[in-house]
Amino acid sequence: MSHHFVRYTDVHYRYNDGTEALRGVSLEIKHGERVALLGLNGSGKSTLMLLTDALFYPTSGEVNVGDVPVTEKTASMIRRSVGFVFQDPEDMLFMPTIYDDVAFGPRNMQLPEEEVMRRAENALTLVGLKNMGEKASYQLSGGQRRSAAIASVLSMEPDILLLDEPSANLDGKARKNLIEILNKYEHTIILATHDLDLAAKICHRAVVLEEGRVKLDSPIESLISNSELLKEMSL
Amino acid sequence: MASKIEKIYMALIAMEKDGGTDVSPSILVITFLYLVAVLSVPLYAPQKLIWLAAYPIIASEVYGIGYSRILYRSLWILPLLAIIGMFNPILDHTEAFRINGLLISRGWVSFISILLRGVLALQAVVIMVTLTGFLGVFNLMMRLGFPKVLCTQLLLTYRYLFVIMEEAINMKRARDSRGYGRKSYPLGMWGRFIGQLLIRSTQRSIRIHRAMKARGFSGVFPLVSIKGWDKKAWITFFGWIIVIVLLRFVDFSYYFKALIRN
Repeated sequence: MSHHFVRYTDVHYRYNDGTEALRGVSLEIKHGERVALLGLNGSGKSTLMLLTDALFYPTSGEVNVGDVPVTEKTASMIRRSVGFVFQDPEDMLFMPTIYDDVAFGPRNMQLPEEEVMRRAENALTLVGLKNMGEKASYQLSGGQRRSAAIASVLSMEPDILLLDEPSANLDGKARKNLIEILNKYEHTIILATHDLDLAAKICHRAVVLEEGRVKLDSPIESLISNSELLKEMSL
Repeated sequence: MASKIEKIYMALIAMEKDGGTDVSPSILVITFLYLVAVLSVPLYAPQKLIWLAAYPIIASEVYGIGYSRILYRSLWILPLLAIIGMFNPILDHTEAFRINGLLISRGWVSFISILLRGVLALQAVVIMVTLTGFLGVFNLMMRLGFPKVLCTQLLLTYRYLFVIMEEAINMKRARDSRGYGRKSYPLGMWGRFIGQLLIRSTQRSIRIHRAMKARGFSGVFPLVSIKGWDKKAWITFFGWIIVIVLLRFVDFSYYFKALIRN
């Protein structure tokens, strides 16, 4: 189990164009928890994820991963323990082969080549792409690309896994495969999605964001079994 | 039917895919020396380039690539070379030689020389890239002591080329799907198309860079595993050096003539 928690304390974030994406989010995610971030487009889910991986920094307030505050100085340390699977796998797969993409993170961590190989092979096996390493991303199906993007993060063996809309554009089989992969993962998962069914199969806790604020924080079961509440949350 | 841009994109992807069969640093040095040999041939002596054309033929066959593939890929540069050299025949009318009374100007000789040099140089580069992949080339450059910042910039520029092409293909498909067979568009629309293309590709590049940073990228591409200069690499290296030096400095036509006379 991971010993990292994630704590957001009155987090505000404003984009350069003046859009206020987050307006005072306070939240604590304990180690090993599986949390679904739900909410309409523009509610602040992706921004919160980007802040958690030190890709953005709060305009005010504080984000802590473990005991480490998210700042420019701590960014590389944060990114070693937080893995981020982006919404579009195409943004993550840019090397000539899938193997090189999966090995990209461990190589950046300056691990010995044997360790890089071990991690890359483990990650590819875990997502069911064991013999696909030498293929280029354009040769894979949409579901396989998603799996490869997940493998490229799992190879870094993160303590916290962030996933932004992981089920987008997946067919039934690929979606089932994704759920299996994520259910094998033992550490903290923070999942931003519109897919309630996927969230229910992976997560135990639901956090609903609306216009940059936490509107609801409850066990996911009590949310999905209450149709009135779902309607109220616009889900 | 695939558009021209899709064909170019697929050709580049295929070249990338072929890479990695021989990532020995010697290939980079051999290619560099071959380029020096080609460029050192005087502009008005294109006949000397003919013997140097043997290197891409021999190398592509030795490495099992097949010369037809190399030739096909290298001919793409001909239009660009023609633009570079097009003013030579127009501006330089000095007589170089005559064939059955037909005057061949030095302008035409230099034009042919530019075409040959360009094609041969590109063939050598294509062989290298086919053997190593572009990533391999940049890794080799880093291994050989080129500044890491320069190598990373080159690699990112190369990757940006793919991003632009992918976005252009998507935009073209979207336009064609609503174009009802229309082939030409007003100039103003092309301006907007290019503007949109740059905005889209920049946004995508930002997302890619973000995904790279999320996986620990700090400005320098990590090296991939590359063979060292083992015994085989040294033998290959010296073997090719001998071949290139012979092709550059030995006048094989003299021996051919002598052979024919005897």
